[in-house]
Amino acid sequence: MRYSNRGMKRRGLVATAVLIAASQPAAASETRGYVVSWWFVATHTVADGSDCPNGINPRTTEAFARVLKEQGYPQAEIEKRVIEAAEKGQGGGGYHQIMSTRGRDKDGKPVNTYENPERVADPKIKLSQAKVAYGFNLDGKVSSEDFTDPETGEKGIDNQYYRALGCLDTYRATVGVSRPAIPEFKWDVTREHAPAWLIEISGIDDYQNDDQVEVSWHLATTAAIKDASSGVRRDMTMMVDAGSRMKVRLPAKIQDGWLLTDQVDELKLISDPYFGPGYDFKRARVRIKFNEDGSIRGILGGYLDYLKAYWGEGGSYGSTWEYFMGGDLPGLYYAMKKSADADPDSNGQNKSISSTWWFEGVPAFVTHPNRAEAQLSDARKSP
Amino acid sequence: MNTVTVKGMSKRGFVFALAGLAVAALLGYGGWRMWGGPSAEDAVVNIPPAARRLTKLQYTNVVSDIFGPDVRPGGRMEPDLRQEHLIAIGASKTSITASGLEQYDAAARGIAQQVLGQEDYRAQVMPCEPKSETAADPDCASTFLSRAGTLLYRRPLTSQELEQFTQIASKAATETGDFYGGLQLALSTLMISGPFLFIVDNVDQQSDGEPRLDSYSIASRLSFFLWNSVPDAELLRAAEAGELHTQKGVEGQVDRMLESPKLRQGMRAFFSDMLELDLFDTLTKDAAIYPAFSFDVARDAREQTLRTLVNLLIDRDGDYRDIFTAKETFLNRVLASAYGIPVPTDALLDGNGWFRYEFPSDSEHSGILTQIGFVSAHSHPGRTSPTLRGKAVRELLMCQSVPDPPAGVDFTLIQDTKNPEFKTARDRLDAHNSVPSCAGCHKIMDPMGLALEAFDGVARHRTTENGAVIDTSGELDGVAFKNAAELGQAMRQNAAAATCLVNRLYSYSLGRTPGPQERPFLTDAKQRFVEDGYRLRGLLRAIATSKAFLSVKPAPNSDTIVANADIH
Repeated sequence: MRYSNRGMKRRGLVATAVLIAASQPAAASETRGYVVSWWFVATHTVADGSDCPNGINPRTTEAFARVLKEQGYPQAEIEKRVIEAAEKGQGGGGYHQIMSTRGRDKDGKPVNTYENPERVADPKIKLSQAKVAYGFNLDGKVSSEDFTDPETGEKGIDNQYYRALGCLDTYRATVGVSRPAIPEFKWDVTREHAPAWLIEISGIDDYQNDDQVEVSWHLATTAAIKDASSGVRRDMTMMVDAGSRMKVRLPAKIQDGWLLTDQVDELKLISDPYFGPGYDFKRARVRIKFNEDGSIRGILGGYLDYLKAYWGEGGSYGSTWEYFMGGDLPGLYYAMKKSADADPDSNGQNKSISSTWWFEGVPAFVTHPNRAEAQLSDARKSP
Repeated sequence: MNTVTVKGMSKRGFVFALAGLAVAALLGYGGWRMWGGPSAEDAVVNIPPAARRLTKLQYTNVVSDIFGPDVRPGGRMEPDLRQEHLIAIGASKTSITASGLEQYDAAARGIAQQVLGQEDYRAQVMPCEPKSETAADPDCASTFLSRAGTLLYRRPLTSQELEQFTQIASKAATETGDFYGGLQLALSTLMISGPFLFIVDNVDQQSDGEPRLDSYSIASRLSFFLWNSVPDAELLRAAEAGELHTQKGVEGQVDRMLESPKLRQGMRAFFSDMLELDLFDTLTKDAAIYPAFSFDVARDAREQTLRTLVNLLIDRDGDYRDIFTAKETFLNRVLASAYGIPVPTDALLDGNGWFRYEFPSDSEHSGILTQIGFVSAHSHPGRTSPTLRGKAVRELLMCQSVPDPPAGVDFTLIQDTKNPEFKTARDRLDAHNSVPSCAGCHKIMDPMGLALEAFDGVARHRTTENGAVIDTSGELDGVAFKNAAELGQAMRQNAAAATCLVNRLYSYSLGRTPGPQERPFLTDAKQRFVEDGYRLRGLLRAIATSKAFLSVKPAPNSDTIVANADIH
């Protein structure tokens, strides 16, 4: 099943970044290649904090102190352990052991907190109260839980993933403006070790308006290469892993300089399982803007299984995530469960949560080892 | 008779732990006394023998050639000194500092450990088995040290030297109860001694009493010139047999050496020196302005230039002048990205890393001047420099001298690349050159550099700067050009380029600037180079077999080179 290009209102589309190249009709259908250089939850932090009117969620030490208190430690001991954890890392003050086993089974025995988040009482972490968030109207409806997209002005934006973690300190950032440090570190590690994601946009006749283009999303055979500024090196030749299960082809149009894909049933992005969960999006769409320097930026919206999303976002990292991200993983689990907004099960619990992801790409020559026709997608020339 | 010897190695007061550093201390306080300074009159007449310190690259090559490529000198080395545009000349004018000798000592100990400290490896290098691994065995130690010493000293050890090093091995083995530990100490001591670290011109006499280079010194001259490393067994055999004192013998060896794969190694060293590619060891760029210029690119840019030259001049025996116009080069994946060039699929799949690439015929990328190895080395960290690029063309490739800028010059205008009034480098230089004291020198440098403005600080092609079209036209010694490709053609036609190669190669071969008495030879060599179609091999042969290269004539009153390597 394929969805139409509906719901994307062109009203409010920013027309200021009209490209020199993009303003010119292409001489013949072109294919451009990119290597994804940044990937993160499309957060939209507001400087005045009005998106989190009750404040942001407790940081590591506060969460640790709360757990110690719940477990009956005396105040002096709590203070001592909190200091040790802050000074010595996860091993200090018994942080790792206590946090990892704070779940209790029905007999009161410790269980792995992260594999059994419901064996911990819901700490009720604060959710974002924002009205503005990036994304798409994935379900075609406009409800009070939905957001308005800051770039397109579209209402009915489905992005409950952002609502769940928007008030976690280490996620607070605004796409295109700032990058949160620890997620960037995680991305850096992923980028250096996992096969890169490649994007090809083919069939381009006109960078401003084109009724028929196609976006392909591939897994590369190698990781991205860094440049001297620690960004992803431009104009590298990257080979598509022809044997990969990741095969994404999205019909799209270019309207007023924005590339908009159709909504598709499934969109699977494979990632190195050690660093990332991979993403099985449902009812997904993509929006891409061509930048003046030849790079691209865009967002991908779609529904994710909330349980897998919890596991991928933090659950699999356990106390490491809690320590460095400063969050409460059972709290995140409950937040995602509560925020899930689609695909209810027989008990009425929604199994899917809407989400939006920010990505950027730098020009690359994308080559296909087994393709008989055009072997190479040109990197967009730098101006 | 002038002789160069290591003499007086005392047997007194051996101190095991300090043996190596005792030599170091002697060298450090100036125990090496080079040839006494001849008079100005003598200097014109005589070609003095020399002692050249091994360069870092030579040291690495020597170790690799003698002990195998897996043995790597660790740590840092005494830095090479560039003088009169060549490290080869600097090597003739430098000694070893105390701290430098400590570094050599550390490297030598590391090498000795790699060679003799591992059972499987020493099985490959030991010519004998000791009677016991826990006791001294002078016979076996002497056998090893004689072999290794001959290769390291590029001549057989004297009986006195061999006895000294054998004693070091034996005493250390006795004190430590470790035969191989003692041998390691002897080997490392040998490797911090003068005859190893310095390539010395030893002089003996012909039958008529005239001084001449001894045959082993000739072998070293040939091997370090053509291979940048030690003589191989065949060359040492020829030296031992006295064949290198005959023209026929020398020519036979030179012809053999010119066909050896090691010639590539030797010519890589020469062109690295001539083009000052060691700049890339420390070259940095502003990462915010040139993010493409990473450590990888710096390393590979040097490699690209060397591969281009070796392919053209050695593998294809091409015309030297084509280095300024050749479209063919070699790239790898990262370097290709810096140029904005896609890598062919088969090159990606073969895993070699490097692939042959030919720039399109209409591309301005043409010859080594347009490669990253040239334009990035002669640019500022955050901007290009037509002046530095032009100066490098004049000095490195045409052997012409450009005076330093006068004191107190105001460079503000040139450095302000965002000045809306002067958008291009040409605009800024035109304004700067309105100062008469600056204009004269800029006139001979800037035109070539301005042609290369088509390439930014990392050789990415561009046509505009700050939105203004870049004018790349100019003139080189009366030959007009419109762009960088035509500049390459102008360089190709310029006689100074070929003359420069002849002079630089000759200076490199001997580690000194030629004197007036050598002008006739150089003139003749240049003429033959031209007649031979500017082939590098022919020029190498002409130099390596010439009397100018092989002869030595110390001044009558010159001292001997003496190394008082007493070990107390």
